[in-house]
Amino acid sequence: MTDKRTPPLTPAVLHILIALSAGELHGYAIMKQVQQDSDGEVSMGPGTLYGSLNRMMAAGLVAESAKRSAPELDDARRIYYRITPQGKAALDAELQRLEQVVAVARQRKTGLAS
Amino acid sequence: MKARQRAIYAWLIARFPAAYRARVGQSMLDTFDDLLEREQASLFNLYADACLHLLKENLMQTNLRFVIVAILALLCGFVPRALGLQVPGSVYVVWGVLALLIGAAQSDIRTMLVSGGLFGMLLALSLLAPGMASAPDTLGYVAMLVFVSLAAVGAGILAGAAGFWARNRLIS
Repeated sequence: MTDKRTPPLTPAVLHILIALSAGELHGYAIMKQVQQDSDGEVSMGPGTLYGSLNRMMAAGLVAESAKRSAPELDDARRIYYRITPQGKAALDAELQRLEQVVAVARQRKTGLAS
Repeated sequence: MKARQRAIYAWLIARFPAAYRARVGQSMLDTFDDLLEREQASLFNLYADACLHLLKENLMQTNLRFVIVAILALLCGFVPRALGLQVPGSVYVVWGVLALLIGAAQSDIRTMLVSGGLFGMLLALSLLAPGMASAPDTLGYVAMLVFVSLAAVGAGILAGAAGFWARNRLIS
């Protein structure tokens, strides 16, 4: 059963956590990663991205990273974000919940077909 | 030109709540630069996106929603009077629907109770207060005003709670 203390994540939060699970990224890179992960199906505007990041930081799911890119490669001022242990736990819980949903849906679909 | 576009975006970011700006304001500005330079994103879309989220964040994080509640309630009460109507039952229907919507929009039960109560109280005041000056029995009128206000507060809270409950039922 779904744990009442961890409500389902919004699609934007889920996509951001999945993007950050691969490593620390800055805002623009998160947008591109989400686009890539979803085969271009999900395109996040800055408002949605930073509104979600703001709430995720307040909830302790992500945090600002100390990482700064090399100045010759990129803008050294860029702020990177990383997933926290709490964020990993929330992602795991959400993936488990989605797996359950898919399993139930598959069972129903099989029942309808037979 | 680019500096000016950036300055406008920075001005918009400066209008966000302080906690929002502190957490992600600078990063948002950097992303604006990236989107303009690397993707030639539409400036109109970027500004519109920022404006919409500015409104949303301010509604979510400040008391602006209470101001909207107050304006809606006062409009509900005053507009029919201004039009010379006899405050028909339809006003209460509009009020009920609005309270339901407001209840549904609340993110927590405490805010819902406050805004529902405020809505009911302001509506009752706007419906009844303009008639006070011409009322023959002021004391009786004040008693009625208090009674109806309290009833409206209760009804506002109930309607807001119903909206809150319906929203949670629909989402979960």
